[in-house]
Amino acid sequence: MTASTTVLLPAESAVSSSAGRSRRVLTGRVILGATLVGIVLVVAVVGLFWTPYPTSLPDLPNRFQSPSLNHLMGTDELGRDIFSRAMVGARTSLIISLSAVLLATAVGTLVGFVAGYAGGVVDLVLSRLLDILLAVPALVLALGIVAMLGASGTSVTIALAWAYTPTFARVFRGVVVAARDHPYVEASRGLGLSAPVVIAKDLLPTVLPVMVVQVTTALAWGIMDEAGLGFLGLGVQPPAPSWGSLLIEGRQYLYDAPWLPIGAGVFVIIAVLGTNLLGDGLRDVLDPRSWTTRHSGRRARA
Amino acid sequence: MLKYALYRIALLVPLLLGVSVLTFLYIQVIPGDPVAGLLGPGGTPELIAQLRHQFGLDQPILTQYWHWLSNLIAHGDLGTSFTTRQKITPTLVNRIPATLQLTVVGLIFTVALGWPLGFLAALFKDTWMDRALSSLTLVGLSTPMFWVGTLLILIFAMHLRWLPAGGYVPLAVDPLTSIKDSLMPGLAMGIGLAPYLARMTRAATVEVQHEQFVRHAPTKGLRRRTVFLRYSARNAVPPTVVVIGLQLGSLLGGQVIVEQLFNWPGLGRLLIQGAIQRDYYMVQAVILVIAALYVLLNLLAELITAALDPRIRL
Repeated sequence: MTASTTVLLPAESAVSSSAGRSRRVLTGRVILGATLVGIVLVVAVVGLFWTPYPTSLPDLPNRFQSPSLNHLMGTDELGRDIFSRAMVGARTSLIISLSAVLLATAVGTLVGFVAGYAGGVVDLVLSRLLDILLAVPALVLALGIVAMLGASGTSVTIALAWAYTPTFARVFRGVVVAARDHPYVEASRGLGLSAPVVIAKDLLPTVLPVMVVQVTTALAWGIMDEAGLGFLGLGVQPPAPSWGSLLIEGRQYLYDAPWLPIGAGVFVIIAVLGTNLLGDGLRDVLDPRSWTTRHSGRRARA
Repeated sequence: MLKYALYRIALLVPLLLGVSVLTFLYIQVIPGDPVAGLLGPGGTPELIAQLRHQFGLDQPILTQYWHWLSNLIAHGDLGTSFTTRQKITPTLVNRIPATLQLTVVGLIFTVALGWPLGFLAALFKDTWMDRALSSLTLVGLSTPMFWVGTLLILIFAMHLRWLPAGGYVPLAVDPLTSIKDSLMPGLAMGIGLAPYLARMTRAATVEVQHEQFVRHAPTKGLRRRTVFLRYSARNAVPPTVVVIGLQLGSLLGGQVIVEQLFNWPGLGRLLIQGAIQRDYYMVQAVILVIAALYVLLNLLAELITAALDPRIRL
């Protein structure tokens, strides 16, 4: 126990000195991003209990109302309030993207750590496999998987998780490989600590910041792709509201009621913008790779 | 250069073979019987068994794969569509020109928007201009392509009536109309992807600006404009070409949505159609072709980078 703590010390000092700048976590970007995400979360949670109008009852006299003070985002073909439906849809969309990203993180972490830590043939085989998996664009792959499973919220979650996993695995593998050969990790191994212990004690603290950033960034993809699949009619099926399904409903009436797709889109943009800001802000603070400016662009063959 | 190019092309063979195994496996491994799904509630067990036999689905996976691959390599045959019962390859090949045309137009818009914005931000680094541009790119990054596309239709097709809201004429039939038709979907894709390119261009340019040969240039009496164009911007281009290559994945993915929105009869719409009808062989074939397209275009970007920057070839 004492051995491993003394081994850890130089690494910690190295990290803090190499930063060479203030590492305040609450930068402007993080605060703004967290605020936007917070607003979306509050709207989603409030939507569980209360919405300005009932979300599924038709109100035919008020169909196709353009946005006004009464109906902030207008009403749809059945006179339902878009804002209320978007509030309820927020829950579905957020749950889908969050579960997809968490699933991808779990599998991606496993594969990335195994490949990065084991090295050798294991790394070679897994890396080539990741190359193959990454040759199919994520959204195209997700579409294909949803096609096999049938359109539903669960299919979308599985499809997005599967589509994101290779990216996660590759990013995590890279970080582990970079951290693996540090003297303090070698020292731990030299002391005879088992692989799980070395990973948990020496590697995880180094990799964790990158993971946090990656997960945040991927949440933005998740929200965007859920909406995209919904827009294609392959997401959560109407009448259940999600941002994606609102978009597909709205698309049919694009010419008569353009506010239908625009309204749900605004929610998507706010959520994604917030998540992106948060991810960017956290990257500046947490990701050691962004602390040095002289290194990002030239990794042409990475 | 030729040797490098040949080496990179040779690497594609195992990669594409891997992709073919994978797309094939997706169909097999994912639960749900395609035939039962196709027939719906009306499918009796006998009917299902008969169809399965007809499509060769009752054979072992390895046999099926070998059959499929040998047909693909020997005859370019990607199988028969579940729903239309027609050969997939001709349908697919018909769609490729439309898809490529849109990809190229989308790329042109991406580069035409992304490079200038990125260079501008780098030139005015740490000024209000830089901050305004980086806010703009962040909002752009967060805006879904279908939303941009919808907005474009509302503005250019419905309000201003400048461009058609959708449709496609082959380039060979009527070049002018064809290009006009592809402007709006291309712009939607460009607006969707340019922000990321702008960001990367800014980063690459800023990095070059720190290099000694750039800092030394003004002391030789060179004008600021010359230093920027000949030294900073020029050296920042190769890394951004790599970014463009990697972005092609998002481009082709986003194109699926854009094709659907603008009624563009490309591979993307074929994929969606196949996905909605659960036409497994069609989905499998389109995914394979899109992956091949992605890998090839990506390679092209890497070769261009290598041609631009001799250091890569070493």
